[in-house]
Parts: sequence; structure tokens; C-alpha cells
Amino acid sequence: MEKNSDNLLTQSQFTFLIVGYLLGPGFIQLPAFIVRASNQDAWISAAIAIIYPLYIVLMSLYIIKKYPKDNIFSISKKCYGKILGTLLNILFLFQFPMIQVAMAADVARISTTYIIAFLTPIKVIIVTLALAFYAASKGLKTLGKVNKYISYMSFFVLAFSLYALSDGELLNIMPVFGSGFKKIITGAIVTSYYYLGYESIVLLHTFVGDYKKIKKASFTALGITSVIWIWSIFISIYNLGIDVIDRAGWPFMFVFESIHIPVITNFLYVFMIAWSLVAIKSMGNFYFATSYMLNDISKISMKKLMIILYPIFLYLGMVLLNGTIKKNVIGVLSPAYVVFNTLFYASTAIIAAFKNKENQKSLSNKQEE
Amino acid sequence: MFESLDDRINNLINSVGKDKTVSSRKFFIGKNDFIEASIVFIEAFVDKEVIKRDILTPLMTRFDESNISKRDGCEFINKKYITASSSKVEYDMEKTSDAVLSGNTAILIDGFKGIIIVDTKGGNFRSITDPPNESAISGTREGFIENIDTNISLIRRNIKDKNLSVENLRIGDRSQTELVLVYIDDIVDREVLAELKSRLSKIDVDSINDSGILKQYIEDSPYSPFPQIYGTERPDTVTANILEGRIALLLNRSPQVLTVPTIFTEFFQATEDYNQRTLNASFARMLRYITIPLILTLPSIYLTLISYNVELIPVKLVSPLIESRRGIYLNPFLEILLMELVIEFLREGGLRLPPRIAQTLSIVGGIIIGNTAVESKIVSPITLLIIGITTVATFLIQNYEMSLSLRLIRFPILVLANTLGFLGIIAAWFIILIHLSSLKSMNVDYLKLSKNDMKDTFIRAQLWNMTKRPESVPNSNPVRQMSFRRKKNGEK
Repeated sequence: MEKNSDNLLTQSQFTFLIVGYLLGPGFIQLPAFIVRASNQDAWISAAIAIIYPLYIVLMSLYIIKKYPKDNIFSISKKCYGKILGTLLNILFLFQFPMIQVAMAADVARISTTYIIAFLTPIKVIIVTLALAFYAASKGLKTLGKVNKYISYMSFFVLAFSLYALSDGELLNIMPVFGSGFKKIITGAIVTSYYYLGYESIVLLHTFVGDYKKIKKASFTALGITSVIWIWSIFISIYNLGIDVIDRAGWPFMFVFESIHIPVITNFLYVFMIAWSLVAIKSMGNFYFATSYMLNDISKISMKKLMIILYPIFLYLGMVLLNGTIKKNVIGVLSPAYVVFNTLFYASTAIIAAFKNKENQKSLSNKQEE
Repeated sequence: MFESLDDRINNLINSVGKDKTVSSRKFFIGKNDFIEASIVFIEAFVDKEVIKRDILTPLMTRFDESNISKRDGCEFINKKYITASSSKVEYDMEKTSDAVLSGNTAILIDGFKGIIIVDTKGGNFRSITDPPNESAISGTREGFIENIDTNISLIRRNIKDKNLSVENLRIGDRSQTELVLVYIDDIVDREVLAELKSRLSKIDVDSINDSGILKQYIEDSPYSPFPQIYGTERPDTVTANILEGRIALLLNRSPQVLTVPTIFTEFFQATEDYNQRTLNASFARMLRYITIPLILTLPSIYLTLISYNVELIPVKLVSPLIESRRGIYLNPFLEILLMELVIEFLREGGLRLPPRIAQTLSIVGGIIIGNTAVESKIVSPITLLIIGITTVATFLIQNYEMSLSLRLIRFPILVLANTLGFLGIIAAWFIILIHLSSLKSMNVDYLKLSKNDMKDTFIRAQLWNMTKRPESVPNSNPVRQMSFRRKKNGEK
């Protein structure tokens, strides 16, 4: 039983926190990008792309096993030395604010298009960032709980997309594997850019403490997010067909437009409200992670950092409101980070393995002496 | 050398207080040698019949001084002659004055160092009746009263466990109000108990008159709109809470008993939930939870729909809505705000009115204001309907403090909805969720929805299935009972 002094995250809180890092606003626009790459087989690409998060999870777990009491920051300093370690840490860090800012811009654009047309996107960014700031300022334990509650709520709303099965066409996903191996793999590579977020495991595992819980939580989160990613793509193709998806900015939302429930004129709005909560809590997660890492580097208190970060995020969010700039910036940075993370994790794991062996050798030498 | 009897009486009276409510009466005891003795008491606190029967009669009529020399003075007199059910010998003047202040009578006898303290507590108290603010359809008709001893006995009658702990404290430098902590020793969580005691020990005030004041001294977040300490006048609720690992705080002169730690879902549980059958109870529970979003956001959603997102209103409803709003002078926000305020005026105004005048208020408020507001085109009938539904929904929250909090939060949400539309409502829900998730009561999470506790949160599962105490309330003995009915069926 959890005692009042126990400020560690529970397994379920950690699970949904990771899910929260993964399931931001991205999954409503993802089908459009992959369909452009691999047509009706986009959902297969999404399934194949899970190799990347699986790799990150496995590597994370391996590194955590070697260094159970350190987060990625102190691990990389131990592995690469102080200067190189800090440099790599700074590189690693920047993917978090990058996703955070892109999310803020996405939320502003989508919500002003659909539910709050009378507001300007800048006002929306001001409000959503303030909410993310408030969530982050309450600490990781609160974030863990909020992620859990909002996730349950969003699963409930997502379940309504099952209704769209009755509306779709099996022909839309046919022929399976018809787009060819090359296109499917291209699609998978595109998808992996959207699977950024599992990096939070090595950053926040010290808040859980127990390796078994971390392992279970990581795999459960991987399972949940994979199902939702693949489902959102599959049902979009099944329900809308690839031609519509290709022209739509946020295709998964149209799936909800086909749901008709008495009294509720447009189910899309119910989905949008749930989705906004999901997006804002994800922004809160990234806000926390960014200030947590900056605190590690700069030693400035997290509260102060959060206040300093607010205008920076606001400015960057406003810049990214321009779709072309966002496409160019994120389009370059996301793949770069996928490559960086892959290499960074691999080399850290290898160095950690060697260091551990050396440590064990020196220990056994000492014992022999 | 002993002080003279007069000096001792004066000392005692001075330490109790210099007012004239302290009474003393001198009398002689003994058959041959007249030994002077005196009783000191506060007239309003004692039962004079007990003093006459258990102190004066035996001492004045039956006292035989010839036995005294052989025995240990006051102790012997106490054991031999005082016929009251509770008495003891005290040598400390401070403790004696405390005892007199609590309604005991002190007996001072010339030539004896000790002072006999006899329990003569009495005075007039309200009788034990159904608490008018928390009446229940089923369950006991008992409610706490202003006398702490009676209140303790009401709990004691329900829990005869030998581990029931009753700890006495005093709070308020001048009021010296008695505070009693009641908990079950092998269920209570030690950390919570230590935290509570440390908070109580820090209270440095002149006086505490009500448990509502005590609540504010020890709660975690004074600026939160949500009540963080549960208070009730029902002994059955307090008993159930103690059995779940909570600590009850009984303050003398206050009929409201507090229990800590408090969790959010506690405010939506009623006594009947446990006395009624599972299905009925679960239905009532669900109704109460449905009212939370209704109270908080129904007026705001209505405002957003008619101000910003008209496209979401079902087509068939649009024309009656436009019809009803034709010629309305106020804009939707002011209209809703005005009606909300009128309802709050009526509520706050009706609170302290004598019942007969309250009836007039409800006629004036409900019928005259409602009707004329619509007829004079100040508000539309649909707005009135929405406000009416919201107000009725607040009555489902049986805890007055929680219902007040929810009413209060409605206003900022309305302002948010007016400025940001749906984003305002989303923001409000997000802030409430974050706030509730970060809130603590005695360092225990205020909102914690764990899997095991679902049996008694949104629904009320079969009582025999609730084998464990709630996880959200820390305790040192999680098993409450066996699932005995299931076991029986299995054996069959």
C-alpha cells in the first residue's frame, strides 16, 4: 500500500506518463503523412516502425539495469566524461522542447480551425502553455496521476472510433501489401519520426526506483501506444480511403465526424475536447522534462526555469504556427533525432557494458588482493 | 506544615478563575471531632443532585474520623465514603483546577494534603437527535451534541474494540478547549497520526470555539476551494471512517466531528449507500457523480453554445432557442451570471431565516422573480431552465461544504467560458484535475482512484466483497473482512 511519505511514481502512473509522452496531438495527423508514403499499407508501416520504440525501450532497460540509480544525464557523464557527456546531454535535451513547441503550435492550429474559431492561435498558445506550465509546476507525481486519469478518459472516447467500422469499406485497405515493400519501409521510417518520446524512460526512471516496475510499465506503455497508433491509421484508411486522407490535414478527426449519437450533433467536438486535454497534459509532461533537464545542467531551480521557459516556448510556438516553417524545422530535426537517439543509446549501452565489466574486474582484483 | 483550608480554597478558586461562577461550600465532617471540609465547583457545569447524593450525604452523615488515623487519609476517604462512580485523589493544584473547569467537584479537607476530585459533570445539553443538516432515510437517528463525553460515548457504543484509542488534548491558551482524538490503534497509520499531532501542537491561539475553526488551522491548502477535512454530525459516519483507518477529532462544544485524512470521493458517499441494496445505492452514487460536471459546466457549456458554437446546437432546438431569446435585453453571459447570483442570494438569504419566513422567500424567489424575469425579457426561459437544473443538481451533493465549493468554482468557469469558449471549459477542467491531483489532506493524496477502491467509489459493490479497507486512506491493517458469502457458495 502506498504510504503518504511515498512520493515515488506507481507502476500505472509511470505507464501512463510514458503514454503521455507518446500520445500528443500527433496521432490525428499521422495517417496523412504515412499514407503519402505507403498508401493503403500505412498501418503496416506503422506496425513495422514499432521497431524503433522497441529498440529504445530495450536499450533504456539495459542502461537502467546497469545504472539503476542514475538518470541519462549522470549516466552519459559517467560514460563519456564530463565535457562530452554534457554536450551530448544538451543535444539529447533539445528534442523535448522541440516536441513541446511543435505540439503547442499544432494544438493552436487545430483548435482554432475546429472548436474555437473566434480566438487567434496566439491566444490559444498563451493559454495552453500556461496550463502546461501549471501542470509541470505541480511536479511529476501529480503529472503521473493526471496522465492516468486523462488517458482513461481518452481511451473511452477513442473507443467510439470502433463505431466507424460500420461505416467503412474493406476495399479501402485492399490490396494488403499492394503498395510494395519499398513504400512500406519508407512509410515505416516516416512513422518512426513520430515515435519520439520513449526517451523519457531513461530520464525519469529514478522516480520509480523499482526495475521490475519500470520494465512492466515500459512494455505496457509500448503496447498501449502501438495499438492506438496502428488503430488510428487503420481506421482512418478503412473509414475514409487514402484519397481523402491525402487531402486532409488531420484525417483521424474525420473518423469521429462519421459517428452519430442522438443529441450530440457532432461527435467530433467531444473528441476534440478529449484530445485537447490529452495534448495539454502532454505539453505539461514535456515542459516538466525540459525544465528538469535544464535544472540538471544549469542548477537553476525548476520553478524559475519554468518561468524563464514560458516566453521562449511562446515565441517558438508562434514561429511554428507557420505551417511551412514547422514542416521544414520539424521535418529536419525529427529524423535527425531518431538517428541521434539510435546512436546515442547504442553507444551508451556498449560503454555501460564495458564499464561494468571493468568495474567488476577491478572489484574482483581488489578482492583477490 | 499544611496551608490552612481557607488558603487552599482561595488558591484553588484563583487558579480556576477569578469570576463569581466558581462556588465553594464549607461543611463539617466527623462524628465527634468536627473536621472542616469544603467543596469547590462551577455551578453551571455540575449536576447538584450528584454532589448532594454522592459527596455531601456520605461525608456529613456517615464519616467516622476514628478510622482515618490508621489509613492513608484522602485515599481512604475517597474509597470509603465517596459513592460517585468516578473519583480520584489529586495532589497537583493545576490538574485540580483543570478538573474543576471540566465540571468535576474538588473536595478539600482540613489537615489532608490531597484533594478528592469527583466526577459531577452535568448541566443542560441538547438531547441526542437526528442531525437536521444531515438527515438520512435509513440509519440511526442519532447525532452528535455539544457535550464531548456524550459524543465519545456515541462512538464507543458503536466500536467496542479494545484497540479503540481515546486521546485527550487541550487547545486554546485561554479557552482550554478539550479536544479528543479517537482512532483504532492497530488500524491507524502512524505517519498520519504523527502529522496530525504535530499540526495540533503548533496551534497557538487564545480560543477555539468550533471544529470549523480547528479545520482551518490544520488543513493543508488554505487557498484551495475544496474542503480538505471532512466534518459530520453523524456518529455512524464517524464510526465507519474510524474503522477505515481515519482519526476522529472531537472538540468540546462542537457537534461536528472531524475525520482525517480526507479524500475527495468521501464527500459523495452517504449513509444510505451502505444501508440500501447494492443496485439502488450504486444508482444514487452515479447520480451524484453525474451532477459534478453538471454543476460546474452546464451553464458554461450553454453559454458557449449560444455565444460561440451555435453550429453544435441540434437543428430542431435552434428555432425554439432563437424564439425564446428574441428581445432579451442582456447578453448571454450577463444573463446567466445574473440568474446564478440571484440563486446564490436566495440560498444565502434562506440559510438563516426562520422556517416561516423562508417559505415566503422561496415563493418570492422561485415564483415571482423567476416568472417576472422571463416576462420582463431580462432572461430567457431556457437560461432559467439551465440554471434551475444546475441548482437542483447541487442539492444532490449532501455535504454542504463540498456543494458550496462546487457552486463557487462555477463562477470562474463561467468567466473562462465567456472569454475562451470551449477552450475555457477545457482549461477549467484541466486546472481542476491538476489541482485535485496535487491536493493533500494530512499529506495523503486527496484524489487517488485506485483499482481496489473502485468497489466503493462510482458504484457501491456488495458489502461482503469489500474485503479490504480503502487504499486511498493509509492504514496499517488493510484486511477488513473475508468475502464470506462467496466462500460459502464455493463450499456448496
